[in-house]
Amino acid sequence: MENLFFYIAAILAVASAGSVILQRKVMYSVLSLIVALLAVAWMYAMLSAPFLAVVQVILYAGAIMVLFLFVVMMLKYEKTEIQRFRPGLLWCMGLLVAVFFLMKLIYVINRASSLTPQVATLPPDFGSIKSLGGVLYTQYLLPVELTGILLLVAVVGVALLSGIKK
Amino acid sequence: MYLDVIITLLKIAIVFGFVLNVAAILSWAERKQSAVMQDRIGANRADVLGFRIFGLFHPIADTIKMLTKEDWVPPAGDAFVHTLAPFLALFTALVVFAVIPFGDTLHIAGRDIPLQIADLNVGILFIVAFGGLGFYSVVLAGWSSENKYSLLGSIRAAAQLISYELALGLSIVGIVMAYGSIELDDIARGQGQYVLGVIPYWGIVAQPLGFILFFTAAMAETKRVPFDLPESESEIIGYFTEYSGMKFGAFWMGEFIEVISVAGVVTALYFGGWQIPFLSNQGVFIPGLFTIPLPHLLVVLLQVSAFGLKVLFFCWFMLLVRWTLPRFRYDQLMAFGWKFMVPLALVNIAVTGLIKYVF
Amino acid sequence: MEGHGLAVALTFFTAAFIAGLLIFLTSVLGPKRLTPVKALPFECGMEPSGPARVAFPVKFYLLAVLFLVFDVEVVFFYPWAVLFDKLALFGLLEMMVFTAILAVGLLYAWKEGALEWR
Repeated sequence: MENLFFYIAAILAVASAGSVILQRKVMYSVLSLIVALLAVAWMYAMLSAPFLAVVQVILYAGAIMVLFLFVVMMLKYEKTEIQRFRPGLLWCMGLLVAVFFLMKLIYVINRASSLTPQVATLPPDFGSIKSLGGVLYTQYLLPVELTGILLLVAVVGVALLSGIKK
Repeated sequence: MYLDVIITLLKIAIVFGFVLNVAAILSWAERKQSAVMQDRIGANRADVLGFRIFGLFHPIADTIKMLTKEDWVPPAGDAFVHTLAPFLALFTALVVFAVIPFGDTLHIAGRDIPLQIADLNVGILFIVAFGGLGFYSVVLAGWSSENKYSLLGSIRAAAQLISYELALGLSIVGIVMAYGSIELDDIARGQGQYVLGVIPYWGIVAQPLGFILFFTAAMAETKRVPFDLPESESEIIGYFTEYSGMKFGAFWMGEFIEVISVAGVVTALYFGGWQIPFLSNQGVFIPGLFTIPLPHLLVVLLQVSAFGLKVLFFCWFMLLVRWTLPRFRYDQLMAFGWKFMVPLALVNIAVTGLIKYVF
Repeated sequence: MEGHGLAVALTFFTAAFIAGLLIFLTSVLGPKRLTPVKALPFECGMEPSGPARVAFPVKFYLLAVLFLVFDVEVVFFYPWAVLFDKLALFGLLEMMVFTAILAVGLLYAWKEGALEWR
């Protein structure tokens, strides 16, 4: 049962991720990406990380994709369909990166298959909001505060770049 | 295993049955209440064999009418996305009921059945997450219609929904601090305590400002008057201009279902959930004096009915607000969200923190 | 979470079934008579004027970024709020610093006029 649910989620994630780059219409790419992110959230939920799963839905599917949608909606309709990609310098570079990534992937899968899987028994509150917060606000306090500064930079940058004052 | 599935399906049937029926009745109640408030007679024309029963046949007539209307897809628009949008409107409105507890644990035939479809340990965040996805139904509807008024409506909706979602998320933090849990059933159970022995420690007592902020932000999320700028039927008609038949009905019903879910969450967070003051699992009691024992089944039944009544009260209250207040102006709406609600929600968190720390 | 996953899956399935059934029924039951006038976008009975896609101010995009940033902050708030009793004064102070950093961002955007709608 668990396995079945996992494979459904995995196939959904891979298929929708493929659909993101294969769709001609930009809106369909955005929708596929949302499905891919939700499928990943589903896997988090199955991997005893419910808080992470919900945050994935709130932040990735619910907030970051809002940015994507806004861009698509602001474009003129003619521009929301991607033209056929012609071979060129960019195309060659893309191919190079893809081949490199594929080799890396094969290497990693080879290494992983030789390792024996370790089955660990998880503490009952593993992945819960309490255990996560307990680590986040004591051990990893500095990164949290630094994240705040990073977010501040994002706000200031966007406010400056959009040039609303003019 | 199979018994668990059957029990879960039963709970889903009860909850969705309640929600869909109340949504249908709300569609009638909204018209009837506006009529009463404006000194008209209101929806009372639908009759079956001469019986009118205050126009209660209207929801049934509406359903039949909407199902048999032409399902029209704008030829210039995007048919798939156009169909997806109303589906999402109904779907996201319905799934949030999975975590709303409608009663305490029921002990029957040696089993403990929590009266909540799924007791997830992310609780309220599940509602924030999937309620937030309702954003897409509005935006996709406007985008796929190929009509400038629809697009205007959906852009307005998008900006409004994300602004108030922030205030909504921040206002919940206060109640999470007060009860030290994020699970709705824990929060509802925590509200069974008493302050000074007599005042029920409901969310409204612990978080008066938080309640007002949450209720306002949640009403903005339902996109109803006074926050109905995405629709604005007197100026831009709204993001569902190009919809007909039950697809339009899906948005319409989705709105009422959202009203019920807001009423359910407000009840669970701020008005004691299923709790009835001075009724515990043992029976009726007066603190420090006496207890009248009541059978367990009766107590659970009373509590579930109390929850239902509270939900109906808040649905009614939202209809009342809808027919009382005028619509915001757009700059007022955005200023209210960002310059008033968000800072106030932050202040609420700080004050709650200080009070909790001092006491 | 175990066991509840099934309940959530069943809820999703039922909700999708209800929503899908209604939309399927309306597309099957209703008549299909497309006329040239009906195919025009509805603009209060007037002849449609201009393209349906109009350019939108970049400000909406700015708003979306602001939302994203503060949504991240809200998510950081929840684990803190649940653990508030345990973290006590230390937690209160560290969250105040975190909020203050972001409040500076909000005030800056406010000053820059990102929240003005004219």
